[in-house]
Amino acid sequence: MWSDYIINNREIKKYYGDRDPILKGAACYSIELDCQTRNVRLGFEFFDWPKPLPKDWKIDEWACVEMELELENVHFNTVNANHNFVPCSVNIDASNATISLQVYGENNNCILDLNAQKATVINFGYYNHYWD
Amino acid sequence: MWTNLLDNVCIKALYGDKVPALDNIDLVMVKIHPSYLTVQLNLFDMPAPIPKRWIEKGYNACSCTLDIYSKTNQLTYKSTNLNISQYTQMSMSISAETDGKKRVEIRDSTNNVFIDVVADGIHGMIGGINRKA
Repeated sequence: MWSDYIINNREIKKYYGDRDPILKGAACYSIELDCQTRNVRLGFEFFDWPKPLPKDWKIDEWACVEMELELENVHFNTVNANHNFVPCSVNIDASNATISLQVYGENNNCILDLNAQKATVINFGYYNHYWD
Repeated sequence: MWTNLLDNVCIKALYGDKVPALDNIDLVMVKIHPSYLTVQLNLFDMPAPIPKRWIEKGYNACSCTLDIYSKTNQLTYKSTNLNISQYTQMSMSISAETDGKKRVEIRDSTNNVFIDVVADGIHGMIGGINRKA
């Protein structure tokens, strides 16, 4: 499972147990490159809810699960932002040595394909788009 | 002057006709999205006169953020090559296309294209920073 190789995966394991969240039909809301650390932050929203839904998740009808990853030592194979990032399908393969991540948009167009040596969860939880 | 191509007058108001050069910039952050590209960079041409508050705070460079956006939710990325060796000593050009759109091209120190994008508009913000040598 890819989540085994992600640092700070406590929340994923807590909510999803022995499976990875499914990132098909997700949204990638941005690709952020920190030019000083060279780290890349990727934000995803998806709808594969934990089962059962955690009691403290007070979600509204527009809610999603949000996961933000910070990647280190990144090599970009493809960056193509000429396609909508929503909806997209995210594929992650991971081992001790490498994280391989691809984001496919409409018509299976490859938006992002990269390899990284380290991935850390920096944000994970539910997100209410229209909470008031 | 590239400052005339921005939507707002913030940078032009600070620099007037002495436009800061874009041929030696340091990139700080780049955020890529289909409908917008946000670029944060450091500029080394200081405005003249330097604002009194900047002198008091010892600012020696400018932090500039450009929001390059599309009104139709889709920018045209002509080139995106993020695998460059260093993000310092880069150059940027901002120009107007014949159809009124704005083109922003960022190159690395060896003149390789980093990002080349065509947008509907650019919003710019600027502030002083204390950059350590």
